[in-house]
Amino acid sequence: MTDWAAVYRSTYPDLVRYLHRKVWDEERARDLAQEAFTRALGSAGDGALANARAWVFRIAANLAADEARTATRRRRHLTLMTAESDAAATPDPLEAMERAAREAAARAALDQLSERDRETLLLWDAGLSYTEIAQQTGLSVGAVGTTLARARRRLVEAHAGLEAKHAAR
Amino acid sequence: MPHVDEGMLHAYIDGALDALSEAGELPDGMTSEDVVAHLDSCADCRARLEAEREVRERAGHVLRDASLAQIEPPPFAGLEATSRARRRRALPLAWAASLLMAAGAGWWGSALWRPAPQPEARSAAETATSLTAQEEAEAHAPAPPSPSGFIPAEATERTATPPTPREEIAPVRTDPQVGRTERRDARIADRDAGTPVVAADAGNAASRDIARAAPLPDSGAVAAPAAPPVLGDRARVRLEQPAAAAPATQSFVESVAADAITPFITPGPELLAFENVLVRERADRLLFRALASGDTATVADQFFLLEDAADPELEIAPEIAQTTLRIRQVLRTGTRVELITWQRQPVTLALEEVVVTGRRASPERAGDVAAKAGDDGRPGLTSAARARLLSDGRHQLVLYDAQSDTWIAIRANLSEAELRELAARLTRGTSR
Repeated sequence: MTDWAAVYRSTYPDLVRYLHRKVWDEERARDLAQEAFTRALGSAGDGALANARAWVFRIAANLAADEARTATRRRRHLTLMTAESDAAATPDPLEAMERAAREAAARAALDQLSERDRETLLLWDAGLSYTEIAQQTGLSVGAVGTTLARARRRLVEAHAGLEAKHAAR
Repeated sequence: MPHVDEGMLHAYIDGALDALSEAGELPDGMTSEDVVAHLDSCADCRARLEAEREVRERAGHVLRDASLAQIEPPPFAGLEATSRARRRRALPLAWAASLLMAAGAGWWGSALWRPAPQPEARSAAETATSLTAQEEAEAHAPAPPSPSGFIPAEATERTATPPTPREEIAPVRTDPQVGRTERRDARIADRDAGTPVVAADAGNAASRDIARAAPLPDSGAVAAPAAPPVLGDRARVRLEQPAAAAPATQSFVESVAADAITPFITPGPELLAFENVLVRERADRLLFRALASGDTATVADQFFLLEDAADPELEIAPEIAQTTLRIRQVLRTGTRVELITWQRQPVTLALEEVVVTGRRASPERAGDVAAKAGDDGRPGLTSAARARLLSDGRHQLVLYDAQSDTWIAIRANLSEAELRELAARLTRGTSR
């Protein structure tokens, strides 16, 4: 029988981080993570799952895809509200500003990757193994390494390009 | 052995060679040990390995920049309870849905055996416009519920057609259908009477749409004519509704004055064209994000400029934060200076249609901040002693303006001393 409490504790932070990079809204990422776990628990029942962590990530990926399709306007609103509340709560405005700038640059670089490259990279960064990534993305295990190599290189190049553009302005 | 490709190099760095080996995806029956041995012996592959390791590390830095800092999971017990409750709810619902579908299928199946409707039946749209008062009353007559609560399309089509002998079920009309018919009746009556219809809820709609609502022609003087006999009571009530309920005659300025709020952007459809573009209507207020109706917008009411510099290039900086304004100026020397204005508590506004308004700071607060300003009347800039070298080689100096509670970061390819000199030439770009 799967120890869901342990899976939850160990997976939740990675899952929220993964979802945040998909929806770019912290509160929404937390909501989606909760929903993914709730659905995983509901569908698994009391039975054992071979890889509960990968199962939760698969549900979460589907939820995030649905979210991207349907909630553009709501997200924009929420993003605004979140930015405002962050601004009010941060003790050091410059620090917040620079953190936001770094995040924006990273986000812009990530957005320049292809969907497959980005997904593979985010899943790896969330702690999934090559085998789990292969199962989730439909890639072969060998192709995961190649995809990751390409995604990392493109991410670094895109980020450097953005920084250079920013400095030149 | 051939050189190791970059995918395998990354698998090696990620500690995933064994996974490749287990999946049988290493080339030519190689094992992970063979790959490691090759990397030990091949200088070329080792050099590429180090290069890929650096790429991986830098990519990790970028990803960390886009990462949330602290993530604490909420208690698991709550999640478990939610999941259990959902399962308990889902089971009876599934049964109910199955029963409903079975009953509906049975009802529909039995309807298939009945003869088809007569072709002379006119469409609902045609007949609805010619309903007599008697038919209207019949249409509103309470209908016996269908066996399963399921209303087939056929039944709704029948609402305006004369009943045929084989029809045993009375016409069923849904509320939207009633509304459509009545609205159509009202339009017919208006056309006949030559007067505009003023809907009962027009007042609410117009108050939400001050900017777009065109003044109703002589709407205040509309005399409701006697409704023709074909009209239902509800339509007649609508016509008799006083048109003065709609605040269409109230100008934008009047509506703003009534709320004691200060407009700084005039309403109009042109604002919508400024999506994501800096919109400046008055010098002391900047809206740096024009949004659609229903959204909120943040304004920065302070910005700073360098004296004697070229015309500033104002730019919203959505990539930084919603509360940040970035201003670029070019010195005579050609040096580009970037000024970033950041307010701790920016003014947040709600957009009502295309009307943008904002409250000014209260006089008490204005007096409070004035006390913090310098004796010489200058903006009271205080260096926060935060000068440092940025990763792109520029220096940055951070200042704080107590009067407006605004932070200013100056960034340029200049030394720290030169930045401080520039800071002395900083003037507030507002008209306060």
